[in-house]
Amino acid sequence: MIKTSHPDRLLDAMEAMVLTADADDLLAAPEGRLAAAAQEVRGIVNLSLASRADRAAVVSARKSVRDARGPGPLMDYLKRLVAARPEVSPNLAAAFAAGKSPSQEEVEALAVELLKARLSSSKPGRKRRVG
Amino acid sequence: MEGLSTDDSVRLAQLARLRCLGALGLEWQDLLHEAFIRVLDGRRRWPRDVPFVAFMAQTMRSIASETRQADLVEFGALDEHEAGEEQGPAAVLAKTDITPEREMAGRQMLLEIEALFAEDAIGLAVLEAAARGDSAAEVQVRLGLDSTAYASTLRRIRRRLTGYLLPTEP
Repeated sequence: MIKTSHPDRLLDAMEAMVLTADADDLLAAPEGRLAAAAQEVRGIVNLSLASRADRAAVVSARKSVRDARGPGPLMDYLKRLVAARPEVSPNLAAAFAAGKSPSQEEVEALAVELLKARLSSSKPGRKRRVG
Repeated sequence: MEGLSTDDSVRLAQLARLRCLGALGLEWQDLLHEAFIRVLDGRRRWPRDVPFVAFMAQTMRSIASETRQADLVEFGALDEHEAGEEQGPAAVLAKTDITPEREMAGRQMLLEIEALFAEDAIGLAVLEAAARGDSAAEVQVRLGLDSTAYASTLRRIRRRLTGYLLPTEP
């Protein structure tokens, strides 16, 4: 019996042998078996490429749905907010006024500030009435 | 990827079969497919200075290792915390109790390799030495092989392995 406490190393050694085999070693097997193996691998490649194409189609469909929904409630709210009070975020106000897409960082920063302000203004000691 | 040569395709099939030896419930076609998917979706990036087949071998090694870890978690030999330790899968596996299922699969793998080299004791000794990390010079001295005999032994090992690992026709 082979004595090894690390079968993985044996696999690594065998892998190195396969990787360093030259074409003569590699193609010494019967032609039919070689052709069948190569064909099976090509089938797996095609399947993998098809899976990727399917995934890309799903992502594209999701993006279309998002685009069709428009800017969303957050963006809509921010747009109305900075139109009424441009001093809250002059950059966003300028971008919306010019009809441009605002930067995601600006939008997120303002949203975070609004949430912080909202949370710090709520009274922690107040209990919600139940029933 | 679409332009793989017959040599490369055959080698990939052999490498995938190799990584499934001793792995529970892992089929070589599934392993190769998963490796291609990870490359295509960008989870594995191909360094241009590494030959594609060698890169795919690394990818399959990594996936097979993950699968074995998942088996260990499933069989209760590892908890999920241990499986995610930063010491790497090899370290985790080495220090972990081997499950009966994994032990049986590993034993089966070793028996198959031993049977493959039943008539080539020198070949098996050279392969075991390579697994231990011995240098070519050390192996030649220990086994009393000159450089020609050593090269010839390596060729025998490669031919035996590539024939053994070639998938059988469906």
